[in-house]
Amino acid sequence: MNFIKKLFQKNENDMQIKDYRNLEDAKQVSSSADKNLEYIQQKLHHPSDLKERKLKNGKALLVYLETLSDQDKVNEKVVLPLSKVDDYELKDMESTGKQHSDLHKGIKELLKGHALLFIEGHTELYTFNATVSHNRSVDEPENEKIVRGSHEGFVENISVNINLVRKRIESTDLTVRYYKLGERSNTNVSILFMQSLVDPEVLEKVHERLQWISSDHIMSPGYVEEFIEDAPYSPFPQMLNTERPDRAVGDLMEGRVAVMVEGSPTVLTLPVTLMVFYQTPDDYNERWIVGSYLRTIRLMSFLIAVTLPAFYTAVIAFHFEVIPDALVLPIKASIKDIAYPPIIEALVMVITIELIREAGVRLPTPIGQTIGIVGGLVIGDAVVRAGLISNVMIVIIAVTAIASFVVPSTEMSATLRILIYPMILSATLLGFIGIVFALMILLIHLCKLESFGTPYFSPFAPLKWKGLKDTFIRVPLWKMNKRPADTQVEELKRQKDSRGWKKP
Amino acid sequence: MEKTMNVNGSDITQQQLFFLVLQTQIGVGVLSLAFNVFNTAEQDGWISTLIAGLAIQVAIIIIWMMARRFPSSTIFDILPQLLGKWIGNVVNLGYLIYFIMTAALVLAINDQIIKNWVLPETPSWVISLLMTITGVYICTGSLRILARFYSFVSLLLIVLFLLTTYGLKDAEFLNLLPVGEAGGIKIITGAKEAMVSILGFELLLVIYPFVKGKSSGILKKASWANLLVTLFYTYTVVVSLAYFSPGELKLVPEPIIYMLKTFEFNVLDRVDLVFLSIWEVSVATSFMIYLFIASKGLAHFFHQSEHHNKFVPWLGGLVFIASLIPGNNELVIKAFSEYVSYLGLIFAVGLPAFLLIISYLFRKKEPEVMVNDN
Repeated sequence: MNFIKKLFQKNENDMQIKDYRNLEDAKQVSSSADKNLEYIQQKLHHPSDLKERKLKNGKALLVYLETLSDQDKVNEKVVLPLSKVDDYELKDMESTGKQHSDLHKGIKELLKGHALLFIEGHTELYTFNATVSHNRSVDEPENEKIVRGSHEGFVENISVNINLVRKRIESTDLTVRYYKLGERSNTNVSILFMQSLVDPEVLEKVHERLQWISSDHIMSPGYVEEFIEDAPYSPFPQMLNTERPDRAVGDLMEGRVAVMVEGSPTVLTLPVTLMVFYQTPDDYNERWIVGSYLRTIRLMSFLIAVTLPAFYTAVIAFHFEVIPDALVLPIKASIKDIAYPPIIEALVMVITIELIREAGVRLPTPIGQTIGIVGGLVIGDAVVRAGLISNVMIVIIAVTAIASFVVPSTEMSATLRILIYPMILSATLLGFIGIVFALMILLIHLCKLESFGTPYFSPFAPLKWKGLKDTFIRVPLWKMNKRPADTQVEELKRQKDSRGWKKP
Repeated sequence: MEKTMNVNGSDITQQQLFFLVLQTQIGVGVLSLAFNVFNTAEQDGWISTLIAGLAIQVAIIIIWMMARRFPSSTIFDILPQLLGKWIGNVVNLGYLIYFIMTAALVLAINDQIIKNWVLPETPSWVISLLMTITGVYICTGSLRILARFYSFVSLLLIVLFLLTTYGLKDAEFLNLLPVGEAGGIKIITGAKEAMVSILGFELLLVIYPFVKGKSSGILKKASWANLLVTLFYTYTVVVSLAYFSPGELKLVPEPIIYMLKTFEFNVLDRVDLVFLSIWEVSVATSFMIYLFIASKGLAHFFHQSEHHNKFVPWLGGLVFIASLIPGNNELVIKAFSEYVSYLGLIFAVGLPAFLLIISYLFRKKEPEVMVNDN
């Protein structure tokens, strides 16, 4: 059995090598330009967009992929200079091109959009950068809008993204590392960090885990995220997705690592804690009192989103006596004629809201709004009149839904909406005691979770009073003299006394 | 005496030790403590509670003095060193059984109270099963996970304190007078009753080697935790004594909940349910730590001290089954409780003192470590 397995494995390996891993070794450029061309044609399987031009009466051969290279650049860099000289010297081209003697290297450059120049009788080739790229402008990301502050956003081009970061941090400390991931797609992935701030252990972990990725294709940061995160079975996101350069820069400055993937405007930052998902750049653009107020509201929304429907279900099903006297009659009147138990009511409403959201999210805006009106107003009103769902339940579920959308991060919002189900179920089975146990298991899970060695639930567990400074409230910037310790940042001190001018 | 030991990343800070001791000591006992001490020491029950706290402080010091002679060993390692392999392992087994029985007792009492107060129709094994699953889930992690969890849920104690404080509104402090009327013997007997509720500090026997930092700091943190628990317990006793007249208090086995049940707030009625829900967390923490140290003990028997988590599910099943034995018979649970409390006095106070004497007499301690008086 083992023998056969080995045989298959070997075969598989052979096939892969035949297939695509064929540029690893070196191949000497032939002195005959036509032979080189033939070789390239064969390697690339005779692509229709491979353009070849004979220049100088057939003494020089220019090869490039017309879909990747800019025609004007090719003309300007190769054709024009060549036409100017009669008896050209190879050295003439060195101002714009680069010399290689390895044909495979040349092919790799070709795939990046460079033009190759072969000259009859020479065993070298020249590459000219003529890459053309079509970029979206750096617009504000639709899913992370803020009121004040920078309205720039990352785009699909990794060099533009790194440029956006470098523009904000003019420092020798900012380090960029490139990786080529995806066995077949060779996707550009880069990590960015501040050398003096980042924890070397975190960096080592990121490096090791990235090296392990052997998927043939990296489509989006989601791929990278799933490959390198600590607890893949957890419902909680363990890396922050952001499309905002200012957010990414803020994270870098707190000693985090940013991971960028070519072809996606989303940047991953790590390690993160739960609280990171509740911060937005807006907090730091507002006055600190306002910022603190909004942040407290956001944290309250976490509690509401997770516990409110469960609490209501438990009260209706088990602990009706918890309701104060004045409220008993209105609530009783509301649920009196409802045929279904509270869990069915709750589930129907939660799923309805989920349906409305899912239907609206991918539709063009005008239709999305219609869906919202039909779903929200019409269904909400009709369902009560029809006596299917109680008034109070509608209020509860609506508030919960709104609370779950308050989170600035879409990933975390989805997590919260998933968590509602086990909470409602446990409340239905065991009332308050069920909720307590569900919350305990949730808490234990949060305590167990670590993101690249950082406790996920910090600063609550492990409990750090100082860390709470930037959690419930957003203390004034001139008081945040230290960086948050939970990223295992190397240098805690952030500033001296920025308001030192104020003499006592 | 600086300890640099690191048992595969499971060591905890001294602040976390504080919360561990705090949460372990506050457990099932808090509800019925006032009733129990009142039955023996009458209106001087609060003195009994203070004395119990003092006695436990002495016990903590004894355990600490012994444990710091073996700064990198749990009780399961120490015993064979002190008593010889055979006797040591027999006593180890005793400790293991004691931990398991305590955990089972916590489950049984918890079942009973939940059944009486919150969920009369639910079969009690359901609660036990849930508690066991929760315990197994957390105990498969390292001690650090427990410490993190305990630190966080300790914030809930503030709510318990505030709810209890609301009782002062109708308190009648004349109920506490005359002070000392019960007499010394009754007060001491009451202290014994109270001590059973405050047990839990014996976790030091097992987790001592996992705490970072100086040993004097460990004593300090454990003592602070004990002080806080003693004050909190005394406070609940005082509030109960002041709220209920002596005649009433004889009839209410869980005075705090009876008291809370009478309160009405505009937004929430029946705060006793809120109190019980939060109290359930304190019970869970007590249960978890016993399950945890028992699993450490079991792992020791199989010579796999580093992999206690393998044994947690089996142990959880065992504790669960043991908790079913008393059923819902109050008398059996009471007898069980009595029995375990005697075991507690032996294993948490008596034996450590005995071991301390032996280790001094025969000058046994961990060889490579110098013991300074710091």
